[in-house]
Amino acid sequence: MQQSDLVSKILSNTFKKNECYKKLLLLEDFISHEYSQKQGDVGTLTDQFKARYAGTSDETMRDSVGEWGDEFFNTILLSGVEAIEGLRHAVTLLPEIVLYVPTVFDGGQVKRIGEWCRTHMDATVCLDLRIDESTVGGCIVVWKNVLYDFSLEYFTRQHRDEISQMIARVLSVDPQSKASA
Amino acid sequence: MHILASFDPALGFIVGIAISLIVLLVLELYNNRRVTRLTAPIYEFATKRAEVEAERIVRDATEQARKILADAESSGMALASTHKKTHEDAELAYQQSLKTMLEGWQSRLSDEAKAAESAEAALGEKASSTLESEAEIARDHMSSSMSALESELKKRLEQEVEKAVATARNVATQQEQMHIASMDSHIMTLVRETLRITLKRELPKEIHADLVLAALEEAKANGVF
Repeated sequence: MQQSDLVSKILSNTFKKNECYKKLLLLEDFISHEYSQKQGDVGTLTDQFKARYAGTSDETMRDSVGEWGDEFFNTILLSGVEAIEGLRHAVTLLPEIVLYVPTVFDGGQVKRIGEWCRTHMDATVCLDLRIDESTVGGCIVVWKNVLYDFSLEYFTRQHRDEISQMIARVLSVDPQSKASA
Repeated sequence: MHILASFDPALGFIVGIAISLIVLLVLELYNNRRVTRLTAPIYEFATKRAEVEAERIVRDATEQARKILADAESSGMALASTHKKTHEDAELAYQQSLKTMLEGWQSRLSDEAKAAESAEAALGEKASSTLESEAEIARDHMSSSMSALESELKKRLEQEVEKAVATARNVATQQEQMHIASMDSHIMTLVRETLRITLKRELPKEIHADLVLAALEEAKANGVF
């Protein structure tokens, strides 16, 4: 596998750069262990990886890394720790979009947002999610060092007239007379 | 005889010469004394005569010098008196010419003053006549233009009043619109804050994610990506 294939494999189930680094750290730990042991564990490398990290707090991440497959593990094992260093550098160079969102999203929601971004923006883009409660009703986007506000403020501004007419109706004020004034 | 025989002739010659010289010396002394005795009165006479002559010459020269001095003094005095007279004449002539010039100026000044007075008087007469005629014209013009001005003023006043009324109406309308806009702004803020609080409290995370995706769609539609 080429390095680009390895990166694609990593990005297939990882949408944030910090998660990429954590997974690569875990992989580095596993590869180091493989080098030192070499006592001929049974099963594939994926099985050995899952077995090694079973029952630890990293189980979710373990499963995620396990999804990368035996070919990925074999390539890394053959190339050694230097391959992981190269992958870390490749991840550093990936494009990144900063999103200010109103709440903390779970893995599934992050995946939805990440997939949307990779479909509509860049196939290798990573997310940098930051919490800001004032962005409720949307989000604030920072792309290529420019900030765009698409929060509730933006949408209320967009629908200002409709909201005013609605309020006028509620308050029994004729919006036509106000408009003519 | 023997003594004579023994006498040398050379010696005798020398003795003879010596005696001759002594005789000559004595004669010379004698002669000198006689000459001196003879010439002494003549010398005294010549000396006296020279002294007299010298005294005469000195007396003549003194006389001559006195005469020259007297002549020089008299001619100097004559020259000084001549110069003094010349100076006095020049001063007199200068005073005379100055007096003449002053008199000329005075006469010219008085002539010009008279001319100015007469010109002023003529000008005053002309100005008063011109002013009177112009005042007459102005009175006519004033009386004719006053009515036009009055009507113009009335017209302008009416226009100004109309403008003021229109401005007041505009200001009132603007204030009303500003008031409405301010109210709208307050209401929009209230609505936004209410929505924000409600959404924050009520919405599940899945809906938040949907809203984030909707915002991203909006960003794409606006050409952010």
